[in-house]
Amino acid sequence: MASDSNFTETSRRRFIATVGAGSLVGLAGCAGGGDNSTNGSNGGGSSSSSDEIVIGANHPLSGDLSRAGSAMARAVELAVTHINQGGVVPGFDDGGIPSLDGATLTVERGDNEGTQELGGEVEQQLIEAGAVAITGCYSSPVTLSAAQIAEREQVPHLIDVSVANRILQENQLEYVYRVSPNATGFAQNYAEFMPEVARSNDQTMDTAGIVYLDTAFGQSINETLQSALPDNDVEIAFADAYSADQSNLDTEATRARENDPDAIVFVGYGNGGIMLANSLQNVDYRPSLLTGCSTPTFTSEQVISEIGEFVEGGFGNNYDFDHTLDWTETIFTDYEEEFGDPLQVIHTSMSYASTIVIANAIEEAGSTDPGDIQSALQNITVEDHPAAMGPITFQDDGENENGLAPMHQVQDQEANVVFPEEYAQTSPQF
Amino acid sequence: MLHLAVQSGVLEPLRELFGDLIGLNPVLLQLLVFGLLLGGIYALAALGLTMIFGVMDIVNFAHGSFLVLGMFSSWWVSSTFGVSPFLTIIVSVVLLFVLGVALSVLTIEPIIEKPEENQFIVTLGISFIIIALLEIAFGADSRSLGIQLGNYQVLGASIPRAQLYALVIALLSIVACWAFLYYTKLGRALRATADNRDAAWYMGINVPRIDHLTFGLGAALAGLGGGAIVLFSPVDPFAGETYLVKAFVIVVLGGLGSFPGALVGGLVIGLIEVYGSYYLPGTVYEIVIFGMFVVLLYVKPTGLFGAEEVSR
Repeated sequence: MASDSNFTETSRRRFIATVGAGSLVGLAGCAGGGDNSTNGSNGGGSSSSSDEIVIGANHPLSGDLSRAGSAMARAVELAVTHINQGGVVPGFDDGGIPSLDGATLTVERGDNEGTQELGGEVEQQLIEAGAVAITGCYSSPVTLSAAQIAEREQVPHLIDVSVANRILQENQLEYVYRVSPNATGFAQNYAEFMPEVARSNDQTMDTAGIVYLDTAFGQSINETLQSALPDNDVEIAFADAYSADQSNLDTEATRARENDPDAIVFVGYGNGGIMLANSLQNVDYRPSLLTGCSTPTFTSEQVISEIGEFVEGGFGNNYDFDHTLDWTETIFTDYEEEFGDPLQVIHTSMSYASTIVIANAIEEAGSTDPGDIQSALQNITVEDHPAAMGPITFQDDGENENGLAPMHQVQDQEANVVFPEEYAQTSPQF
Repeated sequence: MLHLAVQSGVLEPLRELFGDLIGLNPVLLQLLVFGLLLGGIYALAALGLTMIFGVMDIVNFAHGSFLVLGMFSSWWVSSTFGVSPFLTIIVSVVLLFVLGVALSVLTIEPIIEKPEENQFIVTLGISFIIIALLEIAFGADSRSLGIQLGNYQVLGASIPRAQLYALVIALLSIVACWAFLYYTKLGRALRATADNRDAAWYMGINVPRIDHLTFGLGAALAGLGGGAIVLFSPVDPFAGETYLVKAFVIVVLGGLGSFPGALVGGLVIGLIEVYGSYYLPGTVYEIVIFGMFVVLLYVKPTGLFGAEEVSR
């Protein structure tokens, strides 16, 4: 068409200007009204009624992270239900918060859509709705902006899931705590667990190639792996970043085939995991150890089923419930009963555990004042929780001293914890 | 300065590339294959965009969501009814053509003579609606057909069949579109409208009807692209953004409204992306792509295949 089409001189300029303007509007559109279910202001830190204590849940309920975000918000609600009804959560046998005469908890949800600019906005709305403590937000940039608001308003925020180190390491936050392991913890757990699992089963893991998502999340995990793997006698054969807007990972798969390391370590989201599996098949290559760190590729049944047989036997480390507990079985059963869907999102373990920690802090404080709850969190140790990790207790920087991301293996298209042994559902298979 | 560059490791990627060239490393052929395959997909994604702009002078921000709708419709029909994903491409094409015509009649035609910002707000709105509806219907998870068609082996390089078929579909589409435009009466009417809308009116061409047909064809090409891409790539409601940005670059690079330009532009971008991501650190290749894009706008604003602009 162009060969015989004569556009006006303004056409190209308009096209480019329109593309530019459109991009800006598109970005602005992301900031458009989140579907947060907050309902006005009661003033920061005051509960909506004398015997109902509001806990905020700031998660992506829409957008591309909404499947996990919605499940995480549900996990908060389920934990609150368990505390309110009594008999499920140790220490809350009679229902409600004992030190507050059985006052019950209620959850206020907020939808951050997975966008950084909404993280703080939703946090503010939750505080104005009376939340005395908040948990969230899944995506690290979103949590970063929410944490700033929580700090300013002096309302405790418990990070259920968000791994970027800088949230707590580069900001001196008094009111923000993290239950899940951070990026360094994830990478150190991987670098320690995976070689041990392999070598104790007569497998070789002397070299590894890293394929990581080029974001704060991927970069921070890659940085730690670069030092932690050699510390565990694993040489880095290559480290290849991929962009979130790549349509395939054929180049990275080619790089992997060229270097042929003992293990591939994938760091990224489910979509990237599916693409990597496809691309490895495109170059007819599968390493001896197909593994991942902080990725749903080997722990999400949805992603596993999308990839199929190729992911069978793959290893990945991620937080999880402690499946050796009866409590965990109750959570899974009640979740399906309550919401009509089976619990298939691993992040819910951290959201549920965070809510338990908040309830314990309120109980210890004997108060709904956010300042008192923050003081309680500083010194709290929660031994009774359903996550696969030791007692939850916070360091001075707000990190969980015992955060843990156990190793899973895909066996018969299901993700099972295989290491450390105290949390293992089954043995690793090679 | 050169000494500093060498010391800082800036020249390392070049050294590696020349080493592979001198050593005739087979990886170069493998990357060439992947670059051509990726470029073909990008070209296919850009075809509908360039057609709509070429004829209607409309920058269609809904194009990425059309592509995703094509991916989802093909995936859904194939996985629900067990139909071959190659056949479901036809479903995507028909669905998107009908949708395109309907949207043109209902939303584009009333504002086609209005200021450009109205058009881009409308198409952006359409995009948001489509993405939201897909998210409601299918959720935000990535889906895939889960088929592996295997690979061909040529001189030690793997050629994934699914991507090769998609490239063939892209090439056939370009040839078909070109033949339609140059060897049919309707195609001549389209070109006449693209040339000069007012003159086309005076010559008895029903311009609104041509607009609807064009928008329908542009959407159908997105459906075709989506149906081809889902053969080998996972799909989620937000996947269109990737292709939309690349399609914009390709359309400007190749020349607005030019089908050969879309193909060449797609191949150029595909090759830069593949070789760049292999030899350059991190995602530096994106700087190369957009740097080249900016330079081209200075050097040849009409794009590689764009006609000289004249005032009407």
